[in-house]
Amino acid sequence: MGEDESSVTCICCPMGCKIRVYRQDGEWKTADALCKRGVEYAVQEVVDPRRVLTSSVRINGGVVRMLPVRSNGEIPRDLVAQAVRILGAVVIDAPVNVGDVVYEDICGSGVDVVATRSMKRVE
Amino acid sequence: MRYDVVVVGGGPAGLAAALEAEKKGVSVLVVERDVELGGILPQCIHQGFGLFVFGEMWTGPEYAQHYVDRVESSKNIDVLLDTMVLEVGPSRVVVTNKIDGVVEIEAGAVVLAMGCRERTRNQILIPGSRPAGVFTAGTTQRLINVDGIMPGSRVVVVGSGDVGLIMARRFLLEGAEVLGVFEIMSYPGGLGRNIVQCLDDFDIPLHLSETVVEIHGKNRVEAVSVAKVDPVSWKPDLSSVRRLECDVVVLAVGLIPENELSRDYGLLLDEVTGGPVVDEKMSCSVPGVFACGNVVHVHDVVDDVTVASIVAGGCAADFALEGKHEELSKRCVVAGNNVSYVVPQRLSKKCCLDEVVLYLRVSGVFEDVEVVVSCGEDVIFSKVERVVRPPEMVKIVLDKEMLGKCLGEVSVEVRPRG
Repeated sequence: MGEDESSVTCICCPMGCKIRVYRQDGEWKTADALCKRGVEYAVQEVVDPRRVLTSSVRINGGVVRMLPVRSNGEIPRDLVAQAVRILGAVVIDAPVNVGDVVYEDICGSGVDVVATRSMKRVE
Repeated sequence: MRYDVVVVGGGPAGLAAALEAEKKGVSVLVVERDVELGGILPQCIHQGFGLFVFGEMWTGPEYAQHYVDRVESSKNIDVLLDTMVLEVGPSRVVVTNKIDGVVEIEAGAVVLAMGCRERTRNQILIPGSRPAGVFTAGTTQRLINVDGIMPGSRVVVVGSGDVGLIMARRFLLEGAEVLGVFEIMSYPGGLGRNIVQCLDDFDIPLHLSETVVEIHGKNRVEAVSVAKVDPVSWKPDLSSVRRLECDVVVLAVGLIPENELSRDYGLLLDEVTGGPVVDEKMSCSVPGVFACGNVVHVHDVVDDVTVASIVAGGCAADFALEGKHEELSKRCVVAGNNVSYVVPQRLSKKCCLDEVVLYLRVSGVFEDVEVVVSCGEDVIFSKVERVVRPPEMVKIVLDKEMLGKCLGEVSVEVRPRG
């Protein structure tokens, strides 16, 4: 048993490895991760859990009413709920291209929210 | 009207098949019943698509966009949107839409890529009244993510498949109260990563071996009764019944390949998967008809759909070009001990592909096992797995050399080690 040992289920791929995270001589170590992605995720999850936020926002003039969006990077996990509430009030106009910024610097995280699909304008 | 390859369905399977067929220089038509391409992906706004094929953590819409852009800019692929396929027959497909009426299209080969649909309340027989407010998970996903409509504010989720877990989180983030996810089995139906990021992140309770035994309400759902069940017989323990006030019941209780067209055409179907019986080329029991994606069997991840659909599209194009009418091989791939099904169900005597991927589901949770592919007494492949579970598809890649080792029936089983 190392110090501060905990177990993390990896969310990077469908394998869902159960990774042990512990501290040894002041450094974070992991065991049972099957890939590098998992090692990085598990330590991050213990130190400062982060998630990519996904939601949808109102769009005017598109083929459907909602435009799917995501944060263009991870934001602190505890900001996800607040971020979705903010996006609930956002309305944008078609056309939009995949990757277009829909909301800048969500919740002061420094991360922008971008469109995850293109949508033409339909009259 | 004539096309070398006609693809039924413009979801991820159909689009990957169409693009692969086009690479071989044939003319392709994709027929899609929705007003846009992409299938179910545009409503799957969460992340986790494309890791295996693209090394990306895309959302569903991004994965779809990748293929839609390519199909739309392709000169040899035509698309009919808002169009239903009424019938698939020998070298032809009958379609209908508002503009053209009923049209018969000649096809050198047909690729079936109709996907799957959700089990409904009727298929799991929940007793009680029949009020509004009982939805399949995918319907609520469409309502919230695409149509911008909240179906209700107090939610009970039945079934812990991935879509159910993802919708539990989605409802909560959109301001609803999620009372819990109820799973009749003793283990979750969805992937571990979704238990973590959908339920644990938001303290949504998961109740295993517990299910809804009655739905209450006259016009609208008012409550459900839930009860613990016996882990083996699934018989409810009526002394454990409790009532939960709610206005939405979300059903995430499994998917069924959508094979009305295949059945009408008389294709041989697999009773376990619910999809057509196919060989390694994804060729069905009628020469010239190919199938891929969730219409064949329900996949865990879209990446696997893409891989199988590339095979189907390429082989359909080859068939259209060469016109070799080979009957479906009688050489079976059998689901042995602890395996519920294997796809493909048949293998050609002479395999023309460099490798064949066998997709299988196990029939229970097994720890420390060996997955073994054998041909008579000969083991042609084996691999060790720490744990295998029914919700997680097992994949086995067989190369030409392994396949060349035998000519007879192939059997796949899961054995305890030691």
